[in-house]
Amino acid sequence: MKPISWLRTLVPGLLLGFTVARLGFADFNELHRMLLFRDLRLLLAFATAVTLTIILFRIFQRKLKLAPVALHKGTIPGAALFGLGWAVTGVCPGVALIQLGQGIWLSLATLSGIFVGIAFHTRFQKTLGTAAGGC
Amino acid sequence: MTNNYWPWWVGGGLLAIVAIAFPLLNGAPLGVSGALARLLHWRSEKPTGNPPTNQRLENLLFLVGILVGGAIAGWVGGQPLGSGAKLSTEFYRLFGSGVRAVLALFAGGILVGFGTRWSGGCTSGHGLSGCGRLQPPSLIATAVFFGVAIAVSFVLERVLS
Repeated sequence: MKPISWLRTLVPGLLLGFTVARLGFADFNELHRMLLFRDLRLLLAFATAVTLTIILFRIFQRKLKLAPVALHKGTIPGAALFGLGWAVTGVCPGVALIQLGQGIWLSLATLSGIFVGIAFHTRFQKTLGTAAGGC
Repeated sequence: MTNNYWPWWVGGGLLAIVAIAFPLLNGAPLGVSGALARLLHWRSEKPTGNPPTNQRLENLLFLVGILVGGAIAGWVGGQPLGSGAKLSTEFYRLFGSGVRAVLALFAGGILVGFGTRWSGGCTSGHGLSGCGRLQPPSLIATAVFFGVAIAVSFVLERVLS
């Protein structure tokens, strides 16, 4: 199975963007209500996705040889800073792109911030220490 | 925009399909924050050391796909491009509009970009892919960013509303 190379990433990207948006994950109101436990729909969706992914990885584990995710000194503090930024902006990296696709021009402010944050991390990567794997 | 969002089981199922299809097709785990970092550092050969998706065009198309997928979803959901789309009402209630909104989004964005890179993943890389593979660092990171986001949201409601 070897599809045209650029479809290998374009199609999953399209499906990811479409699904996240149609779920309401790109909507600050929906995310904020989830984080306040006022609406459990998105939490259920996320839990379902993870559960099904665990099963699918079990099924396909022979085909996949992915490197294990390494624990390093940035894993926890980095996640904490992301959690803070997520609650404030309502945006995880993919959602910033989705909002831009929906013509929400304010998302350019979020996206610029994200790129500044990435650049800042790259600049101080040696001091901060980060996993080599990039996801 | 009316709230005609999908029920949880439809979206959950499709997200799982993306989480398994991406590594099956590309030999590398799904992860948006890493893809953004590779886009930003497109000049360097191995900015984040994830060779299979280091092909620049494919990396770019993944991100373009997310953006276009969001645009199509907006169109299907009754909010086509150019219809003056705004952020949701709760955001403006908490942070105000104009310069204040821009500053909150920019500062929060820095935290999202820096935090996900330092942590080595975001909602897709750690949350979906890493947790789906039952990787302990990803399980810890996901618990931390969910926990902090929940706590911060409760504090925001207390302080800003």
